[in-house]
Amino acid sequence: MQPIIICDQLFFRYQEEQEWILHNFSLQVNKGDWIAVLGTNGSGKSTFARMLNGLLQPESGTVTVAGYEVADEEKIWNVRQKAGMVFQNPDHQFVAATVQDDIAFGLENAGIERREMLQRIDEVSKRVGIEDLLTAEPHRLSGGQKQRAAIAGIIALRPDIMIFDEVTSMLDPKGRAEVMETMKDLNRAGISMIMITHDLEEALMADRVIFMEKGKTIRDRTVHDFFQDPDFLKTRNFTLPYFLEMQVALKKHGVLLGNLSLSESEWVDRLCALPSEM
Amino acid sequence: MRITFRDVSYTYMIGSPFEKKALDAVNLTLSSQTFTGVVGSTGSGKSTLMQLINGLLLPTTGQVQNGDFILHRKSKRKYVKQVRRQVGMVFQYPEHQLFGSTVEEDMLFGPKHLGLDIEKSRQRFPDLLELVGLGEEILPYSPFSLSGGQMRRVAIAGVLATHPKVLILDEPAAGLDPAGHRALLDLLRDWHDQHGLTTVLVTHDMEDAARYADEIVVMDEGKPVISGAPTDVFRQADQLAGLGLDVPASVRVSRAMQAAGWEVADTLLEPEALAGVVIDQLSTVRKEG
Ligand SMILES: Nc1ncnc2c1ncn2[C@@H]1O[C@H](COP(=O)(O)OP(=O)(O)O)[C@@H](O)[C@H]1O
Ligand SMILES: Nc1ncnc2c1ncn2[C@@H]1O[C@H](COP(=O)(O)OP(=O)(O)O)[C@@H](O)[C@H]1O
Ligand SMILES: [Mg+2]
Ligand SMILES: [Mg+2]
Repeated sequence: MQPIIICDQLFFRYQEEQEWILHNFSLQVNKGDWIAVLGTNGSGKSTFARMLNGLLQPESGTVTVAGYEVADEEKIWNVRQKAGMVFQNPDHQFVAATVQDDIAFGLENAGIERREMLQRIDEVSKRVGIEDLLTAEPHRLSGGQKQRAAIAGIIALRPDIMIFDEVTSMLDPKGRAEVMETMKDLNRAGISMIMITHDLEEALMADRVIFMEKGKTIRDRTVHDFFQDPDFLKTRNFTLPYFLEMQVALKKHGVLLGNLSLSESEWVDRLCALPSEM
Repeated sequence: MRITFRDVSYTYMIGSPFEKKALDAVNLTLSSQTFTGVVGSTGSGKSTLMQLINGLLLPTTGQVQNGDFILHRKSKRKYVKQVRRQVGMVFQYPEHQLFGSTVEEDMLFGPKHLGLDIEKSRQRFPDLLELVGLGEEILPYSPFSLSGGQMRRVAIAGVLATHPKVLILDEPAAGLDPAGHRALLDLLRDWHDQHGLTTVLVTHDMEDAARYADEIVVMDEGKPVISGAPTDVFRQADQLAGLGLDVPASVRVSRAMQAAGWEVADTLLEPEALAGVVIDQLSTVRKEG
């Protein structure tokens, strides 16, 4: 597997007298991987994300994205096309008066000719399920629709990597579910994903989880292995998803031993089948 | 303080092409000293409802009674200000409302605005900061040197410094990490209990609504459509799903267990407690079998 993102020994701070915000931070991401980034507020997650498309540059260390060195100013637009970023606040991501124009804006900037442009708008709007909203004004959309429209604008540029920085934290449950569905679909289509989140249920969708503290990765495991150690999260006052907490409690009583299951529905089925197995 | 909405409607931008009826003939009572969770999809009217409680908005028709005060379309500014003195409001992302050059200046804004005794308020700052998990040494700092979570807590300490009788919280924990989220809501619930407040928490998070609220009001298209104790409200899982809302995981799991023949009550159980139910019933099955 060849890595699509390589962060090598990054040091970064916003001001000189500040402590390191990224402190010898290294990470490799394989193509097609879905990485969840967890951590306390202020641990440097957003700072790390901004390194990946050159919004910030490290004081030392190197970032390589899809084969390009992010420090190479001549290649910065290649990097930004390869690695698209979606932010937390759905209201701050639109420049044009309609959804369609907003998607077109990014394509024009990338020098895509008109016919190709229309074809891509059609394709991406169907992909994220906003084909009926193309002529709508962005501020009239619901939160979930806004985030999907923002995603459409990015995937129209055919990126290899998408970075999501707490994109569901301002959404209601329906909007959140819609955006998570879109994310699953993109990952199935082969896009590599970096997903910063505080929501452990969302983290369960990833392949791999990294946990940041004070500018460092203090844990980096497959999602399966990460959640086999609930005490790691509990000692940091992170509440486990309900069905995991219940499995932990049952295991203490010798019921449903073995690995913790990471699928609520699969586990509930096993639980419901228990009495008949007795 | 008891809060009663009588036939309250609210319409934004009346007479313009963007006219929007955000609340439609709302009748609702929030009993004194209860902690009420308000849930509903985006645009259902939650924030409008909250702003009517403290008179930031006045009803287009109907009236809002807040203790002995009654607000209606023609209420006078001076009168509204008296109501506002009773009501503390923490908006979404309160850190965006910090603008003083020091933390102290920001915390004094509320008390000054409401004409409270400045010296007395100032004396309470160290305790309030400690309560929200910060130290008084940050009083001279610029709010912008603080982290997002710290700024949030300063903003909340500033609201508590006005000693409101009613506390309105519009998604106060959104965007905080899980530890900070829990700590902040625990603190607000404790403050509510200790000071006998009437508190309203607007949230998208059904786990929070279940954990912290005594009563839940579900809003849809400008009207309360379901209300009651959390256990009763979350029993209506299908209606909630129809409104784009979830139920807490405890409800999801217990319902699946009920369907498979387990005897589980309709109460919102902590995971350890529901595990306890499983253990008890398994041992009964074993004895009988
Ligand atoms: N523009 C900035 N100037 C100075 N410090 C900053 C700036 N942005 C973030 N920081 C600081 O860097 C640290 C990491 O921030 P951030 O990467 O946003 O963390 P996270 O996304 O994990 O919450 C925090 O202590 C924050 O206060
Ligand atoms: N300042 C405003 N001007 C016009 N319409 C508004 C304004 N604020 C809210 N609305 C509309 O009123 C309705 C209810 O909004 P709001 O009370 O903010 O809902 P919620 O807080 O549940 O998301 C929505 O349709 C919203 O678009
Ligand atoms: Mg961040
Ligand atoms: Mg709102």
